[in-house]
Amino acid sequence: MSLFTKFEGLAAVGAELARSGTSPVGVPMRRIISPTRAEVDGREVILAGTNNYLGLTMDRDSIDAGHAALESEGTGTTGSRMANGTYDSHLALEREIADLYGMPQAIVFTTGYQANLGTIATLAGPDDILIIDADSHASIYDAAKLSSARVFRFRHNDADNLAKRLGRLGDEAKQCLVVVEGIYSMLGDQAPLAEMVAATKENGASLLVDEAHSLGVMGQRGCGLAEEMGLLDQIDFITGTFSKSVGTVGGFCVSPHAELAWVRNAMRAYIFTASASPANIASSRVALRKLRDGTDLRERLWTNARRLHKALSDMGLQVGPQASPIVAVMLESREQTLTSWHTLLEQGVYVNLVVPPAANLNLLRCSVSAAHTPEDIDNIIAAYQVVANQLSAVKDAETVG
Amino acid sequence: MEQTEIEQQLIELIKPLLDKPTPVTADTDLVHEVGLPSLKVMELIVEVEDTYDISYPLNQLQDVRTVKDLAQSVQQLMS
Repeated sequence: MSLFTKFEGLAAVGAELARSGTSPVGVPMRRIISPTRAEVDGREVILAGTNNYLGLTMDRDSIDAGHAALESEGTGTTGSRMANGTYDSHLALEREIADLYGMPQAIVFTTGYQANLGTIATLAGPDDILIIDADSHASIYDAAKLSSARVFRFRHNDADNLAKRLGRLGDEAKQCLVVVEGIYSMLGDQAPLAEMVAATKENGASLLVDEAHSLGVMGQRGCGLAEEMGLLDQIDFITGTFSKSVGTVGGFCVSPHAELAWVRNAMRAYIFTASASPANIASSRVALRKLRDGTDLRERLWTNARRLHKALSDMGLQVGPQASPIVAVMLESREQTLTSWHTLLEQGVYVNLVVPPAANLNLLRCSVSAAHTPEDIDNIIAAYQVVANQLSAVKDAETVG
Repeated sequence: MEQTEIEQQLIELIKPLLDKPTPVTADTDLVHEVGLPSLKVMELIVEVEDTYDISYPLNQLQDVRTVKDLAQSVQQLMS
């Protein structure tokens, strides 16, 4: 028994993935050609698993702004937001996010992970209660662990199950923070937000929506699911990340409650880390404007998403419950998922491989982008057809055998 | 409800979650003896909550090693 003994299981999974050739874990992107193209394993592939929903990572204006900030303000801030790491540009970005949401203020974090960690773990203190969706992202689970609150889970997207838990709390529900996500990162399904709002309000609790995967993707201004559903004024806290549709790195929290200002300097994930680099902030500001005005990008994104979801479903593959920029195919075993992942790569398509213990599912997780052309979607569909054919050939062989 | 009765009911809830049939008693260590991974423990808690109509705090799980420990905490939450 040593410090490393407990990792033996994880190492075995890693070794199994590596035996298959190029390991899907941390696969090296040798050369980035465009938001939707890179060289992987010696060949140019279509990137269909990058969460680059609007394709803004290579936006000319965003790159120029980052370049200019790099020249004028240097490579890093070398300090916390609380000390020397707040530049005018950090404050400007906070104002712009607050304006986008029509809320009094926003807090910008160095990563999206820290936005959840800082906001959730700090808001819910020792006398409070956190109720989270069972399929929550790891950052929400980690925040729950870090918080000293009592933590309960409710069945994924089940508002009645949430209401039951809130009901059991009685008066204590007023000290409860409920956490849901706009679009869930694995299967791409959306929270039934109106029902979640109703259950939360009825019991006097507060609601936080993590719009990580819905920012830029939903709503007229791209604010996310709450805007799309006309519920922005019903939400107590919204968190999000710049690392998907914005195409940079960072995270934020906005709230209609002016008291969020009191919380800022109590958030350890905000205080005890360096602030985002000036170049990153400058690029994020430009990209956020493009996101706000990008109704054409959202239209292209959803056209691509609906097309791919329908095509894979028509092939008989088991896809997520609703069309979304995240198109996940559920498979039966780790071996089957790994083989299929390699087939897609051979066909020139990179997607994300998800196997336990990362999630309780075996998935080929694809995310589409507004930057994918109709031909790219044709090619992705053709690659999946090869996978579907392989799977049905195996099934036929099993039936005969 | 008696603790032993809860223990027996919990054992029935645990059995379907195991990869291979393993004998489970009140003293069985859920993680180290039957190798219940954390995701399966989470599934078990959802079943427990529905069965007894309680909300089980995840923080309480760190003190639970055996079926008996789990039964004890369920009984406390029911009272």
